[in-house]
Amino acid sequence: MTYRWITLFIGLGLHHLFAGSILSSQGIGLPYDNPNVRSMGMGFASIANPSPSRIDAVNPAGMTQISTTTLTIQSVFHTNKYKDTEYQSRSNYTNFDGFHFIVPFGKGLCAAFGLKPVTRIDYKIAFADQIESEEYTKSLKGSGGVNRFVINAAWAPVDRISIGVGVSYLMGRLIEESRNQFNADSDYTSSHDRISTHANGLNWTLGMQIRPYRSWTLGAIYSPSVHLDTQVDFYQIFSSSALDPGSLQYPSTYGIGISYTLLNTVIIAADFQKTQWEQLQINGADVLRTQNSHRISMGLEKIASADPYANYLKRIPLRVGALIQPCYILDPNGESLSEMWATFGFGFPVFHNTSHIDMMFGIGKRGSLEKNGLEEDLIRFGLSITGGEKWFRRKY
Amino acid sequence: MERNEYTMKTIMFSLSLLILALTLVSCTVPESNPAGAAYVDRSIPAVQKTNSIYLKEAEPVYTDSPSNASSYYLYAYNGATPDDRVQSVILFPPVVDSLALDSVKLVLHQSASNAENWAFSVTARLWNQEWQDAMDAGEVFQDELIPDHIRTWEITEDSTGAATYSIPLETERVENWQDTAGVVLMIDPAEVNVYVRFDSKQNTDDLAPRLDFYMDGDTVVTESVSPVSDTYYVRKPESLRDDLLFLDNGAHDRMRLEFDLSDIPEDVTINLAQLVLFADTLESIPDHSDYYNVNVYRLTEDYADTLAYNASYSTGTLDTGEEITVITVTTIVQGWTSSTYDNYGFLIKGFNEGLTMDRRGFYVDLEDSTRMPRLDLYVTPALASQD
Repeated sequence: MTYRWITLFIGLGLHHLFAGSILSSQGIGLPYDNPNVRSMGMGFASIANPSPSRIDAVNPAGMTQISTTTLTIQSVFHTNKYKDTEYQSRSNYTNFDGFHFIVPFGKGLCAAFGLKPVTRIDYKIAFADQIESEEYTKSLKGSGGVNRFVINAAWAPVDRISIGVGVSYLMGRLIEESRNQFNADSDYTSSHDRISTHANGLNWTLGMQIRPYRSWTLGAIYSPSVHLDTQVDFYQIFSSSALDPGSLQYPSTYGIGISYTLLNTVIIAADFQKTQWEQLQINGADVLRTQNSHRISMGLEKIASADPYANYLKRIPLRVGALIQPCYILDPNGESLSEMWATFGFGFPVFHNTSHIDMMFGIGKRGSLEKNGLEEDLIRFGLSITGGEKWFRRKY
Repeated sequence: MERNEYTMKTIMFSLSLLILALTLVSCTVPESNPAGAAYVDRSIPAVQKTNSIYLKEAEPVYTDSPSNASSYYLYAYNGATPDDRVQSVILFPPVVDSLALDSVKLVLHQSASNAENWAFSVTARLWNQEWQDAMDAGEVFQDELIPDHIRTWEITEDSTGAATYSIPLETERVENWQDTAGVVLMIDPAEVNVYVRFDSKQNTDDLAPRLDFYMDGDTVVTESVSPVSDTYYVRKPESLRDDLLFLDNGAHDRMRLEFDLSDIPEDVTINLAQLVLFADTLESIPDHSDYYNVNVYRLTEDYADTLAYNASYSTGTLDTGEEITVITVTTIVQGWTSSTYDNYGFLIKGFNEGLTMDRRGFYVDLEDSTRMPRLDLYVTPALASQD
C-alpha cells in the first residue's frame, strides 16, 4: 500500500462530528453495528454474503473467502431531518466507522482484528426558560456510545463449510450533559452537569456458512447477552466525583441468511437478524420502552468482471437493497416505530483489482408523525477503502 | 494500464474532495430545539428558587489596631455624646533651630462638611507624646491630654463647597518643635453632630496639608513643609441597639454573619446566591442618606480562634437613600454547599474601610424576619443518572 492510501485512511479516520437522533437518548443509544459498505449497499444483507475482496465482520465465517492480506476502513455520513408535531430540526454527522485487518494463512485459516462502533448516542434538545424574568436556555445532550475491538479467527475445514469466531472487547463512554445557560452579562451562573459512564466487558460471536450447492450460501450468527461493568463519574462546574460502580446487560443477537448466485452475474442475498433488546438492563433495572428488534434485509449485486484488463465500467459492481426493522425504542405511548431503508451502491477497483473503493447511498424513514408523534427522514452515505496484497508468498 | 491509473487518480482526487465537503457540511453547529422532547424520559433540571435562608448567627468583628493612614481624608467629628468623636493628627518634621520665623500658617483644604445650616469651630492643638501614648494604649481620648490650643477657627462654608484655610499658628510654639511634632484637629466639644473633612497628604500637593513659613520679613512663603504622616482616629460609644451591628470604616468595625445551609443538597449547582442586608437609616454617620458600599468575604477559619478570610470579595452598594443592599455571593455559597469549604460564615466590612469615617448599621434582629439578613438561592438540581 502506498502513502496515498495511508493518507486517505487517516483522513477517513480523523473526522468525527456531532449529531444523531433523539431516540438515542434511551438505553445505550441506537445500534450502529454496520456491516461493510458493500453489504450496506445491498440492504445490509451480510450473514450469508461473503466476498473474496471485502472484509465483513458480521459473520466471521465469511472471512475464509479472503485470500490476501487486507485492510479496510470505512466512514459514514449521516443526515437526519426529524420533526414532531410542533418542531423540526436537522442534524448531520460524519463518523469514522471502524477498520478491519485480516491475514489469511492458507488452508482455509485466517485471523483478523478490527475496531467497530456498536451503539451511538447523539442527541441534543434545548428549551427557552426563565427564572425571575431572567431568560436562559435549558438543554440536555447525549454523546458517546459503545465500541467493539474484535479478534476473529475463521476456518474452512472442508470446501463448503466455514466457521468463525470473534472475541470482542466492548468498551465505551456514554455521556449525558445538562446545561442551564445564561447570558454572559447575567448575574446568574450557568450550570453544567455531566454524567460519564465507562462500560467494558467481553463478548463473543459465533458464525458459520455452508454452501450446499455452488450457487447457494447459508449463514448463521449468534452472540450471547453479556454483562458489562460500568464506572460512573459525575462532573459539575465546581466538582467531580465517582459514583458507585454499576452494570450494563447487553442483549443477545442471532441471525440467519441466505444468498444465491444467479448465472455468475447477480448475487441475491437476504438476512433475518434478531436482537433481544428487552434483555437490556442498566444497573439491574430494565430499560423502559424497549422491544426486541428483528431486521429483515434483502439485496442484490451485479457481479463485476474480475479481469483487471477489462473495460473499467465492467469492473464496477452495482448493488441495490432494502431493509425493514422496528426500532428497539418504543414511542411514549408504547407503540413501535418502524424503520425502512432503500440502499444502492457501487465499487471502484483500483491497483488492478487488488484494492477497492466502495460507496453506498441509503434513504430511510423512521417513525410516523401520525402514529408516533416523531418522524425521521434519514440519508446515509458510506465510503470504504479496502487494500490488499499477498503476504507469506514465496519469491522464487 | 495507463487508462486505469488515470481513472484511479481521478477517483482518489474526487474522493478527497468529497470527504472534505462532507466534513465541512458536518461542521455546522447542531440545531437545538425541543423537537422530539417527548421521547426523552429524563427530567431536565431547571433553575428554581429555594426558600430563603435566614440568619443563624451574627456577631461583631473588631480589629485590634486599625490604621487610617492611607486615607485620602482627615476628619473631625463630634457625635451626640462625648465618647463619639473623630479627630485627626498631622505630624511634621522638626523645625531647624536657626530659623528666624516671622509667622507660620497651617494650610488645610476642606473638601466637605455639614456646616450648611450652622457654623462650628475647629481647633488645632499641639500634639504631644501623652496623646500618642493614649492612642497606642487604645484608651479613650481625653481632651485634657491636649490642652494647648494653637488656633481655633470657624467652619462656615456650605457643605458642598470646598475651601482652603490658611490658619496662623503661634510662632514660638512651632519654633520649639525639636522632634517630630504636629497638630490635632478636633471640633469644639460644645458642638454636636457636626463633621468636617480635610484632604490628607495622600492627595496632590496643592490639596495636602502643609506648613507655610514666613521668615526675615518676607510677605511671601519662604518655605513649605509637608507632613511626615497624617491620619484620623475614631472613638465611638458602645452601641445600645441589640438589633443592629455597625460597619465602621474609621474604627474598622466589621461583622460576621452565618447561615445554616445544611438543608441544601451537596450536588445542586448554585446559579445565584444573593445576600440581602437591611441598613439602618437613623444611627449611621455622618449621614445615613449618603452612599455606603460593603465588601463580603468568606471566613476561612472559626472566628472564635482567629480572624482569617479569603481575599476575594463581592461588593454591595447602598446608594443614596437606599436601605437594602443585595450582594451576589454565588461562588462562596457554592463552595459551602458542595463542601469544598467549611462554612464559618461571611465577614462583612465597609468597602472604604480605612479610607473614610463612615459608619452604617445593619439589622441583625433574629426576631424580625422582615429586616433580618437572608440568603436567596437559585439552584439547579443535579442531573440524575439513567437507571
